[in-house]
Amino acid sequence: MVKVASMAERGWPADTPVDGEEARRLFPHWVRQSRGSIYATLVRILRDENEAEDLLQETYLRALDRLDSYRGEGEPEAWLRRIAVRLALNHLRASRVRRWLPLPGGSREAVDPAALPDHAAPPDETAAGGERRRRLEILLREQPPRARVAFALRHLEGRSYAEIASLIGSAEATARSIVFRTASRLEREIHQRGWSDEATD
Amino acid sequence: MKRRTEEHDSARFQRLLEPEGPPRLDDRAAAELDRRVREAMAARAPRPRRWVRPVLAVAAAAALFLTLPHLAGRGPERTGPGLELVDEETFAAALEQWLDEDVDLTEVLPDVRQDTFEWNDEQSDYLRDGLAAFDADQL
Repeated sequence: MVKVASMAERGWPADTPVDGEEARRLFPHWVRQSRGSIYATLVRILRDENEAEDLLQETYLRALDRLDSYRGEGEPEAWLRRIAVRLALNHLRASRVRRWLPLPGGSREAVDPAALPDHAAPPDETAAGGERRRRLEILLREQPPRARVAFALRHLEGRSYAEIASLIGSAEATARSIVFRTASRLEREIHQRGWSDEATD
Repeated sequence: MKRRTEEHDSARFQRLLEPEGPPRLDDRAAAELDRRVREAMAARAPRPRRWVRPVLAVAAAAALFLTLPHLAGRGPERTGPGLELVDEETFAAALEQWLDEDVDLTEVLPDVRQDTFEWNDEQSDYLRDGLAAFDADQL
């Protein structure tokens, strides 16, 4: 489980009241402090570094627009992460609609894992690791947006179910259930393919 | 006994999905972010949203696809109440507004699935089937 260091642990006091002007003065500092962590969250949700970079910029620009409404409730990074996750969810939903709509002359992006070539005997371990990762990535991309987000926040970020529930807008029990179902699908894939726990490449 | 929801091995998922370690923002991307933030703070100007453009383009194409058969006079005959066909500019503007306001798309898109079309060509059949099967809960 990944340990997520809070802003308070990094010497940034939580629940420090700020007015709009103070928030604007502090904003570049907030960006520098949180950009790496927010970027990692976005990559883990979107599984695409370019999209994550775009949404990272969008997160801070959106936050800048709303700076006057931020009053220092909670840690700035939590507020920024909430914006980022919301943007990522909407982005995934829009992408899903885009894949679903049959556009004239366009191509559908949905990928059927069953149609992928099955490399039973990869030439080396690096190729095997790449194939494992590719198949899991495809499986993740096929999950509903909330499932992708919840799985990434839990199993790749180590966040609490309470925080996940808050970020995806659900009850905590629902968040647990979504994470469990999604992880089970991936576990089945791992088990069926006989991938070792020690596989690291 | 472990809780049922705690049985999965996060470390294994991390090894398989992030074999090279956690994602890291590189210097180029960080510098670009800083530049964009500095510019936005200085100008306080409306900012371009790079990822929205393709969405709008697709939405416009989708709206056009919905509208063209009518314009061409080859159907469909509307058989009941349902989707209001709008021009692509209106549709794109509405989508942009929803995104601006952080509207949950699941709240606005379900209207689409209530519609019924009787289009003749294969692609339209596919769209009709897709609309019938559309499940907003999956968004």
